Amino acid sequence: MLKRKTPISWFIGFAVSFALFQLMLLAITKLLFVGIGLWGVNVPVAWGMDILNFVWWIGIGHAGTLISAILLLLRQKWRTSINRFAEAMTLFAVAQAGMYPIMHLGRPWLAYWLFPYPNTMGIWPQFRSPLMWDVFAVSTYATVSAVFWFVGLIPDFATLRDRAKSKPFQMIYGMLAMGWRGSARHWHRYETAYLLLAGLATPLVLSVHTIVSFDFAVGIIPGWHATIFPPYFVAGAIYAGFAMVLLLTIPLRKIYGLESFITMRHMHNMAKVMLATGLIVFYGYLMEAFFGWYSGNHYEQFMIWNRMHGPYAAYYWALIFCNGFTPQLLWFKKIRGNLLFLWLICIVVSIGMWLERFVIVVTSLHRDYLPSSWGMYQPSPVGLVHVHRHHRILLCVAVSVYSLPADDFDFRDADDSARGGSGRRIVVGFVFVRMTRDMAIGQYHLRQQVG
Amino acid sequence: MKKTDPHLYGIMAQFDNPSALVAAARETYEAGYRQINGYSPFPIEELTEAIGFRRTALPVIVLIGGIIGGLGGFLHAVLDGSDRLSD
Amino acid sequence: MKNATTAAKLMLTRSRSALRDRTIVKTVPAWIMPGQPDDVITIHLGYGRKPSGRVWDTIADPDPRLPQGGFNAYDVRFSDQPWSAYGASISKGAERFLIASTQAHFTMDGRDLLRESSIEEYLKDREEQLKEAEKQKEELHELSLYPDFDYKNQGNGYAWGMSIDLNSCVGCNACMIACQSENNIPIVGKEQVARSREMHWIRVDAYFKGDEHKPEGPFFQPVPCMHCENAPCEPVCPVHATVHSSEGLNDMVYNRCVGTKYCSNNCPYKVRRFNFFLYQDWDTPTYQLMRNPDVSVRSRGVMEKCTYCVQRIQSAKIQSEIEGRPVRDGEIVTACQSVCPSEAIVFGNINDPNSKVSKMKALERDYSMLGELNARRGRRICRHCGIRIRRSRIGPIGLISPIGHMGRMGRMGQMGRMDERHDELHSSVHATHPVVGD
Repeated sequence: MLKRKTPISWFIGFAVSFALFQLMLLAITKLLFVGIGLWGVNVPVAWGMDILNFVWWIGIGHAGTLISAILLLLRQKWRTSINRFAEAMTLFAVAQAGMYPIMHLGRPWLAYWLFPYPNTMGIWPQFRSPLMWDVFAVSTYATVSAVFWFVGLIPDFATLRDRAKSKPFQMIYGMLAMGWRGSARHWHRYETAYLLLAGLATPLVLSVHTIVSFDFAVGIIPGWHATIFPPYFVAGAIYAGFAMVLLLTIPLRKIYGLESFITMRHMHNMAKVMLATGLIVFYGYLMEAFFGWYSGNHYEQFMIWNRMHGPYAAYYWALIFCNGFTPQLLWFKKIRGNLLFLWLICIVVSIGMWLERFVIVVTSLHRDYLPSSWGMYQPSPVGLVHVHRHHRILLCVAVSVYSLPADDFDFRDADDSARGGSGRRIVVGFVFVRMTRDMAIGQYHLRQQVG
Repeated sequence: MKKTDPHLYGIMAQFDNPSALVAAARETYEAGYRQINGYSPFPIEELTEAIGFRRTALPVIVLIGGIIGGLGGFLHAVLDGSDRLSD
Repeated sequence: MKNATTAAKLMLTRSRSALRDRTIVKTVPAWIMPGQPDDVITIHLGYGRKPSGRVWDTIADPDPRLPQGGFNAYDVRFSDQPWSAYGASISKGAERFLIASTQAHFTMDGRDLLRESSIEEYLKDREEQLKEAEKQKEELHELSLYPDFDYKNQGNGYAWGMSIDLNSCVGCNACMIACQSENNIPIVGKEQVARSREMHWIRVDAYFKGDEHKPEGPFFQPVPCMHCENAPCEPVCPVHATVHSSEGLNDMVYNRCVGTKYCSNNCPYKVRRFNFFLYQDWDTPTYQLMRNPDVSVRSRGVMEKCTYCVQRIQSAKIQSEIEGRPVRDGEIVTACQSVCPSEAIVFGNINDPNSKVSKMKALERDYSMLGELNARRGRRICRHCGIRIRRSRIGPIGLISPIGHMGRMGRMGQMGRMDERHDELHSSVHATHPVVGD
């Protein structure tokens, strides 16, 4: 098995992300003991960065599933080199996202009441609520993604088990490998199971983000109550997710010399998917503006006018720039092929998608029906630490992907046999990229707060 | 001390490339052997056919599981989701 | 810190009063108020107490440079001539001061929220308005997929409703204070109010109409929970913490609430209040003494809102059951109703056609605020069980005397005369005010 000595940069990255992780744990503890008043939420804006980050992360996770499941079903061979890593990203994104609905609760220690378990109160949860649908959708998505990821990794765990040098690792990998022997029967069942899971995961990409969009679409306030939300959110999720995958893949490819493995063809294809979904998202913005005006409904008209001219107008126009104009650059092959440019575009798109969630959640809430209850939302310092929980994901990735392969077996390509240890190397780049972004966004928000 | 068992339990053969493996498996199958298995570090689709392994019950099990789960969840929400006024 | 809820940061102005040779200079913040006559400033007496106790403390560290309890207007009063002074002037100060306010936008922005008109206008549009109302009522009936609630044959046959006469409301805010003391509503302090986290279950909204330099108004509208029949808050709570009772109340179940806050997001009236912190604890002796034992105290992380004083409803029902009779009209008086000086708030059983509230609802001035949301969304927001807020028949604004009288504008106190320099300063101050016509 190819096993390289762990580079020093991995340790540095791990140390930094671990430190940030501790900061996050502190913030969570303070939140649990003092209350969510530590954040900037209020009435009217009762959902702020907590929920918008939840949506953002889930959306990102969907791209991972799309790459591993949907492209598998569509027999797109170009997916194989990136898909395991993409699935890992999905899992960690979903784990990250799942913390927000719990942390944002006024009484998070009672979060289990959202699950339908027989209880002494004689009461079930309220199934008409989109938040309940979220519970089912997100937990199903997390479960299926986890199983999908794990099943896909079984042969790789077996390889690691067979090459393990020490007894503890032999046992750990042995248990994870679940008795895999590489027999043809195993391979057949493996392929079948993998296809079935892909078939299960694929509709989840559509349904989960549709349900997340229902958190808003079922609300009655202008800006939320829109039937365009399901497709708009799903397209946005895929858009954001591919941007994230590219954001991570481009530097990693460079750092670890994976150019022959993740080729320019992959880059071009992913960029094209981004362009396509970006166009759908842009269409969504245009339609929102149009029906805001065309509806003749004063509240809807005000909503779109307020987005464009109100106190959060800067966010709206930044959003249009990031998500509307920037992806148009991807029409050009030269730009798609220039990896630095592509990487910068991905950063802009990631920010743009975050801004989109911000505009949807905050600007719709802050001015709705009664002008007397209009208010503003300002993030607080504690909130910012919570929001930028990328460190947690980093840690997860660092720890668990430490020795895991990042790619998938191509069912027809025998060259993949030597793929074993590339996973470990993937981690460090992940760490660095995340952190830089973190700090940039953290700085931006702190300046907003102080200014 | 145990006597060495005179019965032969099986034969293992190692091959250099997948085509040889598949060919050998096919010949073994055609010679009438059924308790065959082939091992490889990566999947070889022809090998599965060559050793005579056709069907797995996995898809049916998954389908049944999915139907039970889906129906169960839906019925639970419909039957236990309250739509009556409380007093 | 930027905070638009507080009408932005307004300049501190130095007010100066002079008497003979003496001059007092005091720095106070200025709030630009629509409808305030030119050359008039108002400074309220009674503020400026030295900081003491939790009311004056803020959750975050208070700024030690600034007084937390407001500004002491007595400082510009001469003790040997307390009722008048001459030669007063104001000048623009350099500092900025955060004023916390629960309402920052005073225009209805073209929305049909608070209906008011003069008698002539009212009589002119009367026929049209009545036809509109009938038509809307029919449309609403047909749009909803859900059958009407039948309050007559459910539970005890009561259907609680409330009516607020905007004609009578003078904006005194007594209802707000009564509700606060009846229902153990916490004080949250200035910093939290600046963050829009005040806890009032009923609030009195003030709106101006017309030109921002010569507005009509303010007009007052008390807004409690509407106890909507097809309440938008009910279906979105994932744990059934807000439910509809068989008597028409939207019940808030504190011990079930996990604090998702979706109900608040979905309430178009924004009458739901969330306990972002533990605003009142169980140990402070003064809290223990002042609380109403009939009402539970909410801890952090739960949502609360107007309950139509359900404790009073229940106690009247219990009494009536003991005596073997139905609840009489007027027996249940909600806290807000009990203190309203003009009896604008009326509460009672709308299943009883002879109750005062039914009669009020039958008046043609009666309307439902945001009633059209039913038509738009297929939900019935306010029906007989909810509040019908009525149109008022206010005429033109009355005159305000320049010295020392309560104007029609509820919160105003003493006023003083300024000299000609005021105009020049006033117009520059006007240029920055964010309040009207936002």
